[in-house]
Amino acid sequence: MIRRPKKPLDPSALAKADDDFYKAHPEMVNNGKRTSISTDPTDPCADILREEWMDNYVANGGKVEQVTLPSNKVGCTKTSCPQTKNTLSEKEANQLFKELKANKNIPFDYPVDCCYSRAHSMCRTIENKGIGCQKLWYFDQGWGTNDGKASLHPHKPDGSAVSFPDSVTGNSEPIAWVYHVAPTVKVKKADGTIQDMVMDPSLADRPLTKDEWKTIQGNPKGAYEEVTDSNPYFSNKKLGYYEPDPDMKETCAQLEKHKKDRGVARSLATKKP
Amino acid sequence: MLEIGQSQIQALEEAQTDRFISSLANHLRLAFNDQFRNYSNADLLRFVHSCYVWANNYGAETEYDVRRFSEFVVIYGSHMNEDHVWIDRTLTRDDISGQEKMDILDNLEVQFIRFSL
Repeated sequence: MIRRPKKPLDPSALAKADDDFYKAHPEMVNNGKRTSISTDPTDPCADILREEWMDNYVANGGKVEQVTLPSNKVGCTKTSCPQTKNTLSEKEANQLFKELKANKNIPFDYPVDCCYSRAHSMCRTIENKGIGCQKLWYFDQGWGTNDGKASLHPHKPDGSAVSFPDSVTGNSEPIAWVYHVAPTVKVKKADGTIQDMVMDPSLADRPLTKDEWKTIQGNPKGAYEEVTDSNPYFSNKKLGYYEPDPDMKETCAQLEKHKKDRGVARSLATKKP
Repeated sequence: MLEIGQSQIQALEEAQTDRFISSLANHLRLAFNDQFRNYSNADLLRFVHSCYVWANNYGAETEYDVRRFSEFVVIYGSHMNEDHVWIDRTLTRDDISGQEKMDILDNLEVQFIRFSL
């Protein structure tokens, strides 16, 4: 069930809703000019802002209607209704990957941190397209214990280490993780087999097999993988951790924070002699 | 076991489509009473059917999307794609589904009204 403004829209309620919304979001006003909420319908963080705007619209007299989704195809009978797509063709998976990578609201180029928020946001985007997905987690063998180490060392296709400017010195440093996570979708290969493919634009330009994905991270001794459905924001079954973020508030806040952190580190690097 | 043949499925689908067009016509008459004051029921059904066919051309195939598309036609006119660049650019995109096109149009409409105020 979603809320949608009743058509025709009420211009007076819309103007007042705008005033209230931007009063609460001064960060979205630059030199007096209001920045629009992203129109990308698959961006879950924009969805949250739109919901907030909708609250203001209703509070100012705008009328909304409740819509039940997914909606049936016109003329669809129970024998022909489309269902959630659980398996993609290779072509569809490649297209999905391109669409995920194109989302500028997700900092794929901030390898220091943020994989959990990137994965959570991508899962919502994938599911908004009617496609089923899971999450693949990869942990250092001692994760969550005193023996935990940042043993995952991601590298680029040419073999060099993935690196990023240090947030204090500005020096480019190799990245190391104690764990990493990304969404997976089921893909039907040319030979008819179905394989889980990892959608991780922070590490590759195409969907990866699980083995490829782990190899890129150095495949350290003792590191272990876990698979979950798309719901947990963070999860470690081995040690019993589970943290949801159903309203995406934490996810979107972290994406914003990491985009800012990325900017700060980059500006430090460019100021270096 | 009872089996349903292809011709029976087709008849069911046609009946479902007629039911939808009729309910959409009722919705539009209620929501846009002024615009349809001079339309007979038959005229309105013809209008809705043409919106349905037009929406299908842009990949808007679900009941919700066809309803949204029809509302846009009522508000912005039957030349909406020629009169409004933001509508035409969205409808003619070939990289997104019909549902995404309608979602984007809903979002863009708010901006369109915002800047025209």
